[in-house]
Amino acid sequence: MATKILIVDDSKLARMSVSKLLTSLRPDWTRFEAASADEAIILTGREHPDVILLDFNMPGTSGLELAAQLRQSHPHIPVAVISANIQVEIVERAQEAGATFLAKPLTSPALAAFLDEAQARLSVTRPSVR
Amino acid sequence: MNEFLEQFLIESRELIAQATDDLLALEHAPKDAARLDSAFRAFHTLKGAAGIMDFDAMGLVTHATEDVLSTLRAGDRAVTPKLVNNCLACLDQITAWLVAMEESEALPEEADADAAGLIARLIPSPRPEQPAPVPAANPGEPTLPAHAAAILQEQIEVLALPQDEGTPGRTAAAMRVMQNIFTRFGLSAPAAPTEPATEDTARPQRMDMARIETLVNLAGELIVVKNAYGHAVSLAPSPALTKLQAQLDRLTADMLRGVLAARVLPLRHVFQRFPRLVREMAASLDKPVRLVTEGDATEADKRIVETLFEPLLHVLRNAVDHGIEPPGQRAAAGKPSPAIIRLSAARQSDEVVIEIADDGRGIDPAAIRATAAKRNLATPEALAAMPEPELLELIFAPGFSTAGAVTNISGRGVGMDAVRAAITQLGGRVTLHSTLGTGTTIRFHLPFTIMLTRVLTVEAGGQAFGIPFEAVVETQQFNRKDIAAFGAAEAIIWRGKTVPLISLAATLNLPDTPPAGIIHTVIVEHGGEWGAIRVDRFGDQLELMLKPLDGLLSGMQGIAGTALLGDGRVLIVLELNEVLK
Repeated sequence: MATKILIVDDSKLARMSVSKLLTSLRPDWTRFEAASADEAIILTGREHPDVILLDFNMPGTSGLELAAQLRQSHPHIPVAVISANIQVEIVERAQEAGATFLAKPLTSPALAAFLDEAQARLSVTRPSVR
Repeated sequence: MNEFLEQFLIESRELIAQATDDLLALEHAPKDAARLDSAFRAFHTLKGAAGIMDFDAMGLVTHATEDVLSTLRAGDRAVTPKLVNNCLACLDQITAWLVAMEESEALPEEADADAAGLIARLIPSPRPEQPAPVPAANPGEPTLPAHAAAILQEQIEVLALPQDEGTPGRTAAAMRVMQNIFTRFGLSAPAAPTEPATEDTARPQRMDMARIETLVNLAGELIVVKNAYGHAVSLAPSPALTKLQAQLDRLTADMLRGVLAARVLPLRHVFQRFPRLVREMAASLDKPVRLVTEGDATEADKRIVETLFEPLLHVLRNAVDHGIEPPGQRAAAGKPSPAIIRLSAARQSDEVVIEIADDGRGIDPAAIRATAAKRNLATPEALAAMPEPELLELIFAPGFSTAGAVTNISGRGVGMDAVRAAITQLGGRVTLHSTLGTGTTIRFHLPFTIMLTRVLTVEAGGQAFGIPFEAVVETQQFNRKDIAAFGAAEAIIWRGKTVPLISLAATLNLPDTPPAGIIHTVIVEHGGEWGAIRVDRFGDQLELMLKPLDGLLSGMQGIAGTALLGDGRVLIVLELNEVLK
């Protein structure tokens, strides 16, 4: 079964950019996209993604709030929060919410490192994932 | 175009529009935390987009703006008009970059230099480190640092480039850079080009429109086939064919209505450009004016929305320039400051009504009389006897406003006649109400969808013509003896009303043979004018896709457009304004 990844960002351009990176890093993964926190929650319930990438800055529910919510409802899903504001406070808050902080614009090595780590975590809970 | 660049342009334009809107709202309500957050988020997302495109200059500018906005958030700084100006200047620059990127499909050159100037304005350093100023030509004139002078020189060179399709974009960008330099170094700037500033943010932002347009065109062709089918059926009628034809009629009409309903845009696309422009116009005239927009979510046909900019700009210019009194006069009259101009839109059954209402001085009938007399629009006697509503209508007469007080704002030689012509072209009408001392309201009544025009076909002078159905009151036959002569003109009495009798053939310079017995007329009412149009024969009612005039017919008076008939003939649809003159 293919690994599923959910990309949450209100900017389509940002989602396109993350998708492009994923195509080269994990071409066999199935990608889902959500443009808001609400959409993300619905898709998470319906598609059961294995990994989630969140934009920090979204109207309504922010990426950090969403990360905290997801940690409650789906504690086993590895989550990364992506933000262009590399502030200690945001990095710390992301970690508090159990999420990995990734700097925007997202680079291939940074995303690759997170995906490797996520896969390592998944192999514990879901040994079928390589 | 690369899909990333395409999406970047779409999103950036939407974000610029959002940020502009938020900044202008903040200027009026500096404590509006939600607006501040929204503006911050817009700049932040712009920064993110710049990062994705590796567009460093834009990244730096948006980052600096974000910093400024975060000091506002923290309460360390207050919203001032200057601060808003600086942030808007950044948006202008980004808009100019987007234009350049759309043309060249590459990152704009010289962007770093533009960015540096903007950032310097946003974050004033306590001791500006600048190269030694070049000596001023005249003692006492402000001086310009060498790098600024060099940038100016470059812009002059840009302006001197040969004209091509990139010229408007380049000129707008160069003007803006020069404006920024003038403002920054305290020099008086040349008259700012007011319109282009936010032009590009209002381009249609939905790529789906191209697909909808294709469907509209296909539906148009289907209507032509349907009309041809109807014609073929009428040549060899049979019950089965007639039944099928009725079904086809209904389905094509439903389909066209559905497709046209999809080709709509919210009026926001055009409205959002005006707060900015009105603010600039008002500032240049030293009049505190606030533009309030309402109902910008109202939808209208895309073509209408896209055509409205010029007419609305003209009316708003007039309002700021002529309608709103100078501050002293307003204060003396006990009127509040700032003056309010309300730009609103609402759907009223099949119409979209756009209203521009100012709380200025209103239109002085005496001033209209004076101007109209000066322009020889009517004799002084006629003017003296003219009732007020009719007098106000003179504002729409060609030649009324081509002269008078010429200012940078409204003295452009385009009158209200051009506004009325543009709205009429869209199938709408313009009305005006004014109360001296209280203000002026101008309304555009526009159809919700355009292109599908219902006409009554008639024959005159051996040719077929279409009369727009909305103007037709009824078809009526008269006896020769019912005609009353008024000098050279003729009229008929219809329901107790004296209606001028107009020979369509004679009006269009076609051979006209007045009948001896019964005459056929179409009673029409258009823009308050009545007429009994004499024709040779009545035809059918048709629904047509009207094509604007092109080629040989363009510029012909009295014709609104043409449409292809079922039998292959071209039907000329009349412009009643001209016919009723």
